Amino acid sequence: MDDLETPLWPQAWVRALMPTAILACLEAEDLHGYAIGQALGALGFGIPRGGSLYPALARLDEAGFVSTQWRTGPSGPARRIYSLTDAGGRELAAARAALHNVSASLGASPAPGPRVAAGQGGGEPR
Amino acid sequence: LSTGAARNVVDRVRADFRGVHGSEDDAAWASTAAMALVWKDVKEPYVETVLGAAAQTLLESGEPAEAAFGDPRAWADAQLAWLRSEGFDALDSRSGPVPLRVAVENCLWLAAWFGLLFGVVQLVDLLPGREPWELTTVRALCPALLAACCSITYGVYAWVRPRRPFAESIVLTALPMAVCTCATAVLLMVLGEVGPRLPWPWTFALAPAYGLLAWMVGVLPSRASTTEPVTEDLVASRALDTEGFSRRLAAALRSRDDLGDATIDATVAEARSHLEDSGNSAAVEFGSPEGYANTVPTDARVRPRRTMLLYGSLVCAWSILLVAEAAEHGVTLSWALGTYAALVLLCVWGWINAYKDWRRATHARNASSGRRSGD
Repeated sequence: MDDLETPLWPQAWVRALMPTAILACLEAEDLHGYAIGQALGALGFGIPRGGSLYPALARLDEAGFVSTQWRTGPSGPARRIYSLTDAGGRELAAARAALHNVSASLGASPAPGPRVAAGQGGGEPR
Repeated sequence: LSTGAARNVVDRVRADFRGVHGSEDDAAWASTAAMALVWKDVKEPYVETVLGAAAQTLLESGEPAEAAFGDPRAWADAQLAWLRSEGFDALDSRSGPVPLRVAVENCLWLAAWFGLLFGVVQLVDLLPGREPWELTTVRALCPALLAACCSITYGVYAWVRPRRPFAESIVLTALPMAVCTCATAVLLMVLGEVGPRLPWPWTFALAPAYGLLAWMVGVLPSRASTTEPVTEDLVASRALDTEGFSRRLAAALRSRDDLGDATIDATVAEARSHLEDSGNSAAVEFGSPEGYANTVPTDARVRPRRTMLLYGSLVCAWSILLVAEAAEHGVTLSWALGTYAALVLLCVWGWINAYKDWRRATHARNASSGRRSGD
């Protein structure tokens, strides 16, 4: 099993695509911040530090791409749960289309590799 | 940054831009942009770095600064947003005590501004129907006393603010402000006519005299710090447990003055739960609390809301004085009544501007909320 903490992609890509990857993580289910970090690790983005993750989440919240609510679990402290909004879903679809076009313009194979599929939220990353 | 240090940064940046095309317009643009960044507490090295990069761009493009970057204040805002979004610890948000020399220098600069106001008042008193006043010892000391009151009040606020929510900070600051104001008033009454007096034109010497004093204090050699502040912060941050990190994070967030108490509580609670989940140290996950606090996006509604509160209070205060003056001397055309009325109007105008900013920010927020609910 790969080390989830180490990104599989170049650092510059990870930084640039982090917001899109967060939206992809939230597509299937609502998650709290720490779980989003784990999901990003599973997508090959490495598990981001809290200092990078939460400001990115706050900017997505500010843009209206995610919504938040506090939920108290059966044990432990209350957590802020993030959900993908309709606008976030549209943003994610637009980003996927743009990335597909970039890939096509670079002359890449039309069949994406497993990691790209993972980045699109399409299944088990590795 | 002290006033002197800020001036040095601005002078260096100005010289750099003048050196690009030899244009005074570019130098003035750089000066405005640097002042805007300094005013927003951006650390000196970051001010020089972003403006150095801008100067390099000008050199390559051959364009004037205004054409290449637009309005300098808007450009400074964009740079600050970028520094925040990139997670740079670029803001000087440390809440430690201000060095005595810097405090005295800033107090004397403020006294110079008050001296200037005294000059303006003296000019008004030269108008027909009024008598110019002689400069007594107490009047000469007045700008310094008022500046000391303001500095102490601000110092108390700066100390209380990182530790308490906004409303409590205001109440706790109002107390020493009232004490300082009463002490100054008593001092003025007791010393009223004591000491030598000079003819009224000497009033215009107050501002230059206090300015000269401030400049002299500013150029005094200061004790060099043996450790870089950034290094001190990092060393202290590494030793923080979750409790200590939460406390310093809350203090740094409150010191920003552009976040509501609910946002601050939520940010701290979320960081705590993340640390519990991850099991990592706060320094590993978030770096220094002050650096992390600077990455939290601004709530654009908070400052206009507080400015509305300030102007609202001032409108009430000046209106009370206006009514009291009218009750004592009747509603006749007088300088005092006119001054109070002008101050009320000025504060109402300030309140309206703050309201417009608040409304704009609220609309922007509601627009994103609309996106959240799927329009």
